[in-house]
Amino acid sequence: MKKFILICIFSFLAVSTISLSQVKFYAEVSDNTVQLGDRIQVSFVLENARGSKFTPPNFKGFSVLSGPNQSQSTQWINGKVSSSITYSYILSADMSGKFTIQPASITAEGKRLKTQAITVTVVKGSNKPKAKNQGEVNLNSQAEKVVHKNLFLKLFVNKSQAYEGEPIVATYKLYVHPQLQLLNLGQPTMPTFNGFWTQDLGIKKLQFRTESLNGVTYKVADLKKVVLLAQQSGNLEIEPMKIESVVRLQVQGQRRRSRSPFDDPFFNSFFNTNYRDFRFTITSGKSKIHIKPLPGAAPLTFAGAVGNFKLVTTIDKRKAKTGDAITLKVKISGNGNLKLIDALPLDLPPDIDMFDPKISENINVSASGMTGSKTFEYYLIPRNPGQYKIKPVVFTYFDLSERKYKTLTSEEFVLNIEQGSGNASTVVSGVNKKNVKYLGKDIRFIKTGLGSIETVNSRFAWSFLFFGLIILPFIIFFIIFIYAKRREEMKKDIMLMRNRKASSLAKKRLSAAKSYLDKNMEDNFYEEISKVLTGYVADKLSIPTASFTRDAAKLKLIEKNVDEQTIENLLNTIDYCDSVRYAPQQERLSMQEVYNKASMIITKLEGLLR
Amino acid sequence: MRKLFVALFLFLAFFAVHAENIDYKGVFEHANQLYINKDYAGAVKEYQKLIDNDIKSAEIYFNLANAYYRLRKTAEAIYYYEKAKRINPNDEDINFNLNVANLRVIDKFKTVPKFFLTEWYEDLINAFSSDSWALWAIISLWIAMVSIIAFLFVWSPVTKKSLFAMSILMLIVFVFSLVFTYERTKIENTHNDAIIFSSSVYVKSSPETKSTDLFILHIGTKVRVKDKIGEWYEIKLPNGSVGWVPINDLKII
Repeated sequence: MKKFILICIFSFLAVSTISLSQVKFYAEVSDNTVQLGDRIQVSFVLENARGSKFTPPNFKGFSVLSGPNQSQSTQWINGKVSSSITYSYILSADMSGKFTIQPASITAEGKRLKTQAITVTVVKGSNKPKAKNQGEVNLNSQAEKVVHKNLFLKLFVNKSQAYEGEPIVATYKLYVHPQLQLLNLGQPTMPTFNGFWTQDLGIKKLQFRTESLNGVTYKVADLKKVVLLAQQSGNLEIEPMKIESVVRLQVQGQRRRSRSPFDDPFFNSFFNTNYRDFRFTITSGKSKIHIKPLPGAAPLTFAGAVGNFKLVTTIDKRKAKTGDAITLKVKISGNGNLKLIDALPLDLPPDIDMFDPKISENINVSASGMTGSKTFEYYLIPRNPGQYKIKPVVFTYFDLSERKYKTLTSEEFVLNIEQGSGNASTVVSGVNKKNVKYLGKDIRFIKTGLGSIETVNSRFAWSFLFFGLIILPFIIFFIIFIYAKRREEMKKDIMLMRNRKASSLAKKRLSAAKSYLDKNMEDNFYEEISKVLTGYVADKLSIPTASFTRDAAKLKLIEKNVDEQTIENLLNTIDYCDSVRYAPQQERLSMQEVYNKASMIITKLEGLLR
Repeated sequence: MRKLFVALFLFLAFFAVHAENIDYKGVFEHANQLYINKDYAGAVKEYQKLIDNDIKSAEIYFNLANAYYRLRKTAEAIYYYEKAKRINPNDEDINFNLNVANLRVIDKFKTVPKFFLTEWYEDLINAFSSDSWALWAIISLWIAMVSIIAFLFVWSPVTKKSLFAMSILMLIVFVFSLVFTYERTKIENTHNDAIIFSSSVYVKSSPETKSTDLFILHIGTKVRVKDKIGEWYEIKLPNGSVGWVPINDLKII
């Protein structure tokens, strides 16, 4: 009851004092002359009344940066109460020239009140000192200082150095002083994380908690949390994050700025409350991380897996028919950069077709990295019957705790493939050009006739018979050759004999001719002489007597280098003897003369024909 | 002279005697009849009987291969086609059926084409069996000898000239025939081709079970055998690859 009465009295007092003061509505500007691009504050002040339906003018030639910002103040001076409501705008001068800020209007105590019009001159780049504007600049820089202390982003990285592929967690945290009025946060600009593979740990909702930093307690929220896997070695930079924020700050009343220096805005007296919104871009720091390359001499099978893993391979059947599908599962589980592991290559015989593996992941990404498993499901289709091996699957990773490469090997699978119903082996593949013409052809019919039959060891080539038949003609030839040779030699012997006997025979015949000469038997004599000469020459020259002719004898004699005259004498004598015997002669040589001539020729030839 | 002819006659008579212990013609015809009646398994048995009696005939091998082909036994079919081809390398039917049967073989190789002169030379050698070449050699030699002897006893220069040319020509024919006989005998006596009889076999890098698998060969593939160590053959493929295969997986032609 007492309380109620007190309130009643108090309110009466207040109302009564307000009514005592004069109602005023006026406009003021921070500066009448501004430079192009500068800011200007325009305030519309209503004193000692409560207004409604405030209508601002349109600020032609200016653009509104902020406003209307409403502030209230109440003062008691010498027992006199005065209160004011201020609508302020911050404008920026966009154009040079003279501009008039038109009156604003408000309804107060049942009346429509209007402010006066104000003329503002905007000067182009004049060097007029902005003494009056200094306050505004101060205000902003002051605010920035305050905000900087009480609202900031920090980047935390859990490691300062790591191996390639080792998970690193980067966290961007927002720190807000509990007393700071944070109105709005824009969309953060996302860093690009060059050189890293990233996995965002997706923060759905900003959740503030209290945390103290350097003895000051802040409201803290994680803005972004990322698992980073370095893809290259060297010094990599984790880029800063930027975010737009709007902060409402209490500032001292505009009118008093010239009179009193700024106090800390947060600890302003209640009666001097004046709020303004500020827009700031806050930026986190950046961080450098030294990424160590994996030790050299990585096995050939190493494909970038880093962490700690297990390898399990399973096959659904080891016996199958051609064309049946066989499933081979390769499961890699553990923790590390699981998401970066590619399907392991299978070493399959060409008789087995393989489809691209089906990849399923069960990976849990957390601040400690990635854990879980990755399964590759291979479908194998055997094409040909037979026994085939699937070589062990080899998986190599870098073990971070032991700092060395480890290779895991699965077991070897042996598949027994039988011929399936689909006749796969008649599927002709890779037939070369030469054989294409046989495609789809059937074999030719059997041979009905039996050709040469060969029993083992009945070869003709290189047999005794074969060699015999080769040697035999040589033997025959040899025999015949020897026989012919001998006959030739015998013939030669006969000739030699004739040659040797020729002289004695000639002597015998000459003596026979001598006896005919003595007995004067002319016919016999000439016959004998002719025989002596022809016989002697024939024997000497190995000419058979039957085929003896004058010309043949002459040729042979020339061959034997017998002089022309002797030949002429010889032939003439023979001719003479023959002609005397058959024809009557007119001119006759005596028989003695012919005899002498013949014996002389023989003697001469005897010397020439040896 | 007469003694010589008697000796020659005895010589020929000795080699002309053939061992004829079975009625191979009858068996052959019976087997053919079975084949015509589509009793391929029966035909195989009959043909095999002839082969077991050491009778070598391109026709028997060919028909047996045909029967195996009909039974879808590719390796055996190719094996006997190849055996028939050894005897009659240029027989068109054998080559045709071998090519058809080879379509069922899984392994295909790109063979490097031979230089045409080499091919001609091989065709020429393969045109006759070693026995036929031997006969050619004998005949040409005899003609050459008769010509030379006649040359000695003939006086007419024209006849002499033609006899001389004839003997030289025949001597050349003799020398070539002899070389071809030798070459062909070498081919006939070298058994270094083999057919894979297992449905699939891993070719190893060395003659040990534990050595590295190089590649896989399949049933019916023809390979060249280069060496043998223990229970292993070293083989070479038409594409030049070399490796080791257990003896049991192959059959030498």
